[in-house]
Amino acid sequence: MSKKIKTLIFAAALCFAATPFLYIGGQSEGSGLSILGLAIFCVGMAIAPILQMTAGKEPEDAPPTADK
Amino acid sequence: MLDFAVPITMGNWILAFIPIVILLALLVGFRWGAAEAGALTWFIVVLVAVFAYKTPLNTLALETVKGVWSAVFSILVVVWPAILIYEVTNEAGAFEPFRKGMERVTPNRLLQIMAFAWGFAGFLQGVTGFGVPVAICAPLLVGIGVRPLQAVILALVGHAWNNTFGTIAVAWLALKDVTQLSGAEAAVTALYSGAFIWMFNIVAGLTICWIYGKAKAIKEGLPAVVIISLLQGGGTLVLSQWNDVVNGFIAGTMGFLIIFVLGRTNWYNKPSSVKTDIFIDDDQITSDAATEDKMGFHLAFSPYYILLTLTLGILLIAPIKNALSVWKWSIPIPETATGYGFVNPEAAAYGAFTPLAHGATFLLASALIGYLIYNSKGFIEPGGMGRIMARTIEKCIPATIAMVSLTALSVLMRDTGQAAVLAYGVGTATGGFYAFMAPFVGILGAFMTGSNTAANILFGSFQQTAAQVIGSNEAAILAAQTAGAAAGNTIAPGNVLLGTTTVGLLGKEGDVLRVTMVVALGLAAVIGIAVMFVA
Repeated sequence: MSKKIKTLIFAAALCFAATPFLYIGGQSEGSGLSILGLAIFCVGMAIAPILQMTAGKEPEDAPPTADK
Repeated sequence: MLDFAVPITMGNWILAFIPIVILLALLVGFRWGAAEAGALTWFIVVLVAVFAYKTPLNTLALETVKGVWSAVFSILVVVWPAILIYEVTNEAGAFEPFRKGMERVTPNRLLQIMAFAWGFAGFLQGVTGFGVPVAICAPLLVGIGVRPLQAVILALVGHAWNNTFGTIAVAWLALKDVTQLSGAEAAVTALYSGAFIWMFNIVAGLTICWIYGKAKAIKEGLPAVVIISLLQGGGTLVLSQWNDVVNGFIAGTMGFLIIFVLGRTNWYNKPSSVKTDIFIDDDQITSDAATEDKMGFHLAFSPYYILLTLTLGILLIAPIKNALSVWKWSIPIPETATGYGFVNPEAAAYGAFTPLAHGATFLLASALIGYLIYNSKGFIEPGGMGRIMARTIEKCIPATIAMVSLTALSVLMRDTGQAAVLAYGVGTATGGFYAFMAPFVGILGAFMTGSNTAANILFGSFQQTAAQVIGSNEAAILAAQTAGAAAGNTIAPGNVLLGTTTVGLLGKEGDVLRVTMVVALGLAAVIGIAVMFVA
């Protein structure tokens, strides 16, 4: 499994982990939980575009990663 | 012209349109994958929602939950088992016997393509929907040797005509429900809808031929296009006046079965004479002669037979379906509102998912039973399950990110009024020219929601009001809405992603959209012109 896939698994897990905070925070109008949930969700959402943008900057002759 | 909570200004319209432009630019222009493009666009939608559409924090939080819930229980539940069934079939080496078997049905590769991309996809859409036709038919096309990119495009174009009356006509019933049409009004609207869907159906058949081999393929495929579309599109038109619920199923079934007859005719009982580049070269297809000898067509197709049996046996037998539909998963969502007073009512059971009567469960069961069958016959090598699961997870993860971001952004646009501002803005600006734009609004709805049904719910009543305000033909406008929404399924990122994920082409969504956008927008223009004549 490639490093990118492992990172995306982490990103997806963050998005799913954020939803209980968003749900409870949104229902009870508790802004603390909502903010926490949104922060976690934003980190999860940001990972894929960041990977895309940083991947474009890698030199073409970079050595292959040693994922097994 | 139209009363609406959010100010319909040029500034608000442009701000609502910016995310769509950016999403398309990233996908088509920069060739980003849907996961990356969707996630970045989600941030932009959030900024627009908070700063321009006055969305408070708790609404933002709950709308995000709605988005995640919808992504998982509307789309990902189909994506995950669809990938699994493909990987099981692939691990067993069942695609090669399957391809050989198809050649016995007809040696004509153009008709083989039509059989899967148009006939079988339309049939599946008539029965199950939920993206299953794309998730099944695109890999099957790859299985018979079609290049993955073309396979996705063909399946998208070939299935979408049956979106309105397929899946037990749920999209059509939703349109009738939100517009409160009388019996007579519904009959006229159904007639127009049937006519526009027939146009779509013909365009789909011709597009499949064009992709196969341009004008020469259209010439060779014309008899099949005429006969199949007579049964699919013409059947839809006639049946629209008789029975809503089984319309799509009957039209889809007739259109599929006639292909087996066509394969015996002088037109198609010989190899195609048209040169095509949509197939992977035969010498590139890894062929296992031992597998071919041992595994016949029917054994190779066994997971799909199980899928058909489960689907037909459960969804079309009302008492069984009703009994299995009792168990539902849903989430209660309180009322949400924006600072502009755009209110989304409380939902006691948001996004209800019926696990025992959903196509996703049938797919999962078919994959598991298919694995057991292949394994019992010795077609799964030791360690096969591990390889299947590894490849499935590798494909599922990027698709999961993509669907969560795309659904979250579309739900946020819908429930903060951005989607409605887009539609109302078009209505306000175009005035008497609106009749032409009606199918494009349908396309917009499907593009944002990935569903003909959701698009009709989102914009059905708006289209009705717009038709009344401009004094246009209401039935034709509503028919254009649902036909446009059906066409919009060919460009809805979620549907595109279903195809690219299941054929292992993830990240190439933009390449698919380059073709399907031309088909969808071209078709909408044709329907728009037709509406202007009758409106």
